Order: sequence, then structure tokens, then C-alpha cells
Amino acid sequence: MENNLWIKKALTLGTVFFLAVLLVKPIGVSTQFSVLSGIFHSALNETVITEDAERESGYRSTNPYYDKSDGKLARSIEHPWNYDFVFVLAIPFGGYLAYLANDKKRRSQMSDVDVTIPSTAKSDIRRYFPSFLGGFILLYGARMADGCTSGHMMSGMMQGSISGYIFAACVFAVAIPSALLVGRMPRRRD
Amino acid sequence: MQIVLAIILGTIFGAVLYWVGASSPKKLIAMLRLEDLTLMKIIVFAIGFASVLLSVFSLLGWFNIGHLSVKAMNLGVVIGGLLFGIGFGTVETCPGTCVAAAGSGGAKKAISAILGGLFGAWLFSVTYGFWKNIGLFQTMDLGIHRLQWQKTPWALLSRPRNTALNSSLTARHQAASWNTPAP
Repeated sequence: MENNLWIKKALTLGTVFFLAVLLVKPIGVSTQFSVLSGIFHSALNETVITEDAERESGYRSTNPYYDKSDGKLARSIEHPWNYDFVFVLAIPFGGYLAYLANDKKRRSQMSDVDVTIPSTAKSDIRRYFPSFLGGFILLYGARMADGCTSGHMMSGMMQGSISGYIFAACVFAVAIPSALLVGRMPRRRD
Repeated sequence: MQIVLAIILGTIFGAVLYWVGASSPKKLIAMLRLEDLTLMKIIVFAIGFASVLLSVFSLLGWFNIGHLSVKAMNLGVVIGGLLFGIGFGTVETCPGTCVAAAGSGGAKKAISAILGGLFGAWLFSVTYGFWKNIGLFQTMDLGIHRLQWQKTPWALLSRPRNTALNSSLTARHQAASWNTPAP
């Protein structure tokens, strides 16, 4: 039975990606990190994004990234309540529902986060800083590539996009050796 | 209507990510250390299955091609992918799965990763001008390409043929792009 479960999971995951593109558009997550950080950015510095009636998007920005594609990102930052942003906000809600639906024994198997970094580290900074740093590199890379695992790998490869295949190859070329290296590092006991 | 769909699809997506184990760093690290490839099987099978559904629905004319969005290829994809790999291999999460994990187990680490991600995304926005000026996004700029049936394999690297799908994609790309030279 366990042997068939992965196929069911794969069919479900594939169907979700297909449904999204059938009904609205391909799933993508990492752009919304730019939108949310842009919201903070423009709140702290109001001169970054200004209105511009001449443009189709209605906005222009002094930052070339927000300004690219005719100010599309600048518009999303000023008006975040659109499909993409709400979609990403709904993800943790779905994760939480599935987490509640799971029984306790399975939960501990699924969500053991303390695998990579020893949980014996004393301070909170030691404990959470690696995740922070990892997230930082992840999103910097994802924004440079213009997509993440969802956008490039899943949605991109599903559509047969060349960039998706190249992105996946580059990611795994680095991720597999680095995961193996992290596994070999002696764990400090402090 | 779109917002309702966003809530429904986002919730399902988060739940499925958790269910298949993609939000679990434990499963991701087992996959990347090549110890347990179940997750890899799930993901690759899912991509293939979605791809088949997509082709069948397009063939039957039930699929609005305008919904497709193929991303452009340039050197940024390669370097960004390599950087992404470092983060993926060391903290075993990715932007989608850490958002899903924030609502389930291991929320504190997932939230740390999200905060780091927000900072990373912001720093990229600020440094985008620099990368653009040194020509990162113009190098290896192959534009938008899909794998498709070609008579010659090298045609894959030429400009896309003028099929209905490609012309709609090319038009969208040209409308949206800031770096594609005029054809």
C-alpha cells in the first residue's frame, strides 16, 4: 500500500499545478517575496514608487526592478490584493489544515526541522540564523533567476519551458553536493 | 472571483505540499542526499502528469493558451539557480515550501527563512540595476522557449516557430520584456 501512496501524491500534486494553470495562471511564489519586501521598502521610503498616469500600470519607480515591465511590480506593491499575493497568503493556511488533519505520530515524522542544525545550540540566534541566511540566499537566487521551485521547476517544466529545465539542472547541481557536505560536517556539541 | 480562486487554490496547494512531504526539511534533505528519492519521484511524476494533462487539454481545445506563462532564459537563470542550490542544499527549504511550513510543523525556522527571504528579495530589488548594467540578463538571452517537436534538434535553439502558441508567447514576451532585441 505504501508503494502506491507516492503515485497518489504525485497525481494530486500534478493535478493542483494543472488546475492552477487551467483556471488562472501557473503557480509561482517567489515574486511575492519581492512584492512584500517592496511594500516595506515603499512604506519606509515613499519616494521609491510614484504614480504616473501616462503608464498603463499607473506607477513608476526609481528602482529599476520595480519599474521593469512598465512598472508592473510597482503596481503590485501599491495594490497587493491580487490573485498572486492572496494565493501565497493562503498557502500556510492550507499547510496548517493538513497539519491538523495529520495524527501526532505522523506529524513528528513530517515536520522535524532540527535535522540540519543541531538543536543543542544554545541561543535563538544560533538556532534560527542559518535558516535566515539560507532563506536570504534562496530568494536572492530565485529573484535573479526570476522564479523558484514552483515557478521555474514545477510550472516551467510542466509547460516545457527551457529555462525551467536549465534552472532545475543548476539547482540540483549545487544542492545535492551541498546537502551531502552539510551532512558530513561534524556536529558541534555546545 | 480571482481572489476566491486564489484562496481555494492556495489552500489546496499548501495542504498538498504538506501532504506530499515537500514542506518537511527532513524529507527534502533525504532527497538531496540521495537517501530517499520518494519525494523526487513524486515531484518528477507530478510534473510529467501535469504536462500530459496540459497537452491533452490543449489538444481538445479546453485550455486557454493565454494562461501559459513561460519564463525567459538568460544567464540570470543559471547563476540564480546555482545560488538557489546553495540555499536549497543547506537549509532544505524553498520559497513555496517554507511558506507552507510556516503554517505547519517547524514554524519558527520556516518564519526565519521567510524573513531571510524577504531581505534577500529586497536586496535583489536594490541590486537589480547593477546586474542589469553588467549585462547579466542579456547574456545567454535565448528568449522564451518551450521544448517542442522539431524536425532538427538544433532548431530548439533557434527562434521559436510561428505556431499559435509561440506567437502568442513571443508577443507577450516582447510586450513585457526590457532586454529582448527587436526581432
